[in-house]
Amino acid sequence: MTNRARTTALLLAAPVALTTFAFILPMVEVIRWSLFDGQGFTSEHITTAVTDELFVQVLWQTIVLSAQVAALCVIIGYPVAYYLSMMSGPLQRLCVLLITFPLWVSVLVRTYAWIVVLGREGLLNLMLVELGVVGEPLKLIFTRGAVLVASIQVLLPLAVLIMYGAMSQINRNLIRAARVLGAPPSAAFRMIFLPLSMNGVISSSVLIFILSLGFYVTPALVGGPRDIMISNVIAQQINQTLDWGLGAALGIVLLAAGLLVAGLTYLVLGRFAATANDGGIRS
Amino acid sequence: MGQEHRHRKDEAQSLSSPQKAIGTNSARGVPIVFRNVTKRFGSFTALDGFSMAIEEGEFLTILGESGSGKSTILNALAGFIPIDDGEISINGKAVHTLPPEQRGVGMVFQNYSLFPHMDVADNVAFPLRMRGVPKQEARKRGEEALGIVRLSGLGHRFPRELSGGQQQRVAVARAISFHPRVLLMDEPLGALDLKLREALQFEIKQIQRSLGCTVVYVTHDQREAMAMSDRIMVLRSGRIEQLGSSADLYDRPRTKFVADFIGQTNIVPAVRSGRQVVLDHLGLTITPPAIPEGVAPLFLNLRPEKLMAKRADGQEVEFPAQVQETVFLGDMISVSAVTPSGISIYFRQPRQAGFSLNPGDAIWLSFDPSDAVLVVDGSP
Repeated sequence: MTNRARTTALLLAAPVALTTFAFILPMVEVIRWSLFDGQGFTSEHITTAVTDELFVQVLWQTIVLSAQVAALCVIIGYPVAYYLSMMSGPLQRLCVLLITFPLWVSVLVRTYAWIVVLGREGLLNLMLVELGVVGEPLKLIFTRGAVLVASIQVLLPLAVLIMYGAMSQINRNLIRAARVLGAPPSAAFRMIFLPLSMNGVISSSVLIFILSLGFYVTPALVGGPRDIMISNVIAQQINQTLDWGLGAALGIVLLAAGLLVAGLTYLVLGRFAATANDGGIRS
Repeated sequence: MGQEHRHRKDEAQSLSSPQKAIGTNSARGVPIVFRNVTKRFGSFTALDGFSMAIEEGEFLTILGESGSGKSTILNALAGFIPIDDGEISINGKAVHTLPPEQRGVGMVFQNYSLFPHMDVADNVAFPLRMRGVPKQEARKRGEEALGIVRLSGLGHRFPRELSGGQQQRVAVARAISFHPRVLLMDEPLGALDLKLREALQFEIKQIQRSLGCTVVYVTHDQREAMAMSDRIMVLRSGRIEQLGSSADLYDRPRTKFVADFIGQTNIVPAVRSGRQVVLDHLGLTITPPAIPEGVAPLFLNLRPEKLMAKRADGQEVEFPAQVQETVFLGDMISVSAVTPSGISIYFRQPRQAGFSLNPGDAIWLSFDPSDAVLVVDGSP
């Protein structure tokens, strides 16, 4: 082994060890729990996880809610990322900093804050009643809507940052070229900027989708009993029912569902962005 | 590796194939006028009451160093930056308030700026599509434009599959596909290597001639400017230092800056003495054809090819020097020598000059006083 190769091996050893112990081993363990019990191999847990009506319904609900969160994060975040990428200098740096600001506050704190805002005696209801918009306080907290809003609030900065990163890679001369060659601003955006920013949109939506698939704290705190997500069910199996085999099986099903949806998204949307950031020289 | 090689071959072939005539649909160029244009960036004034007139069908090169304001002029003309004062007109019509898409100019950028997500055909058809030309016809006319730049049949390729030279040809095809009467080029060859640059200079010149459009070409490369332009505008700090043909600027520079910028030269301080000038460094007093008026310091501008080396004193206008270094150029030998007063003088010697020069040789350098061009230091 040459000196260089030895250095590389040494440098790689730590991350490889860390990944093995913190990621691969637990993963193998979870798969083992879901497929083996005290007596040996069993398909019982997996079968229950994919056939039990309650589990299937919660899983579907989780996927739908995650898709909604991802779609709304991208739709709301896109214009923000666009204007960020159009800025320059200190103002841009300040605004990027402000976008990351919510990330400094714990998810728990941010979610509790929504109880204060959306509660029956919360800020929003007080305001609506005072202004006479509604007679009775609305039921806002412990609803599906509250889970959606709180999840979006937690994940939106990430969506913005990912799309902003992709957009700032777009060569501004391409927009200039489109304009001078006859494209009004709207056409230059639609035909040049939008397709070139699709990579960012796809990465962002897939990441947000996968992150919200595993959301646990937010639905537990601001959702109603019917708005639980699959993570809450898994936690229940592990902490209360103590059925680790079923909990592990549900985890595996969630993982498979996530991979499947993410894969499909890349496959379908990826066609629109396959060549987005290739070619050309950045000035 | 293999792909790079193939690109090279493509280029070599396309260069040797005959130029396609463009014939019927050539548009006449139109004049462009800047009148008292002022542009400030914060506290920096890039252009201060700048005026110029470009004639119809002219190939005008704006030549200047970075920061001279050449890009500002082009960007103001394209409509990318608003001007603070003055007027810009194309074909007699004021355009400085119009957005870029309504100015009807074609443009080629330094870094090609091809749309990476569109194939070559869609790139070239883009300006036509934006002008409401139906898809089929736009692609057909795009193919014609590709023929002009000798890239017929490459329409289905994506920009990333082309070499730098091919990409820049596509950019030219895209800029001319809608037959604009004005073509703007912002250092279009800056990213290419020397051989390709020279070949493309030739092609761009040919295309301009056959299309007849007015070209405004920006570069900092004086050789490129001389090779292509009808007229060259030497720009310095947002001001026109001199405007004229390549030969004008080379033979009759008005300022030390232009003399220095265009081609290689020798600059020797001179002092006026009636109708003569005294060249202290050379120990000479000569009678030049003309002496600029004014009080600005004078300099003699003497091109290297106007000097002749001799072994011995003989003629009237000559001065002694000692050879320092010789550089073999192929057909010529470039020589640097130093005068007894210590200034360096460059000249060229044909290889068949009858004697060879070696470092340390004492020589005499003669020139014809009618070749002596006096320039001033500062604004003309």
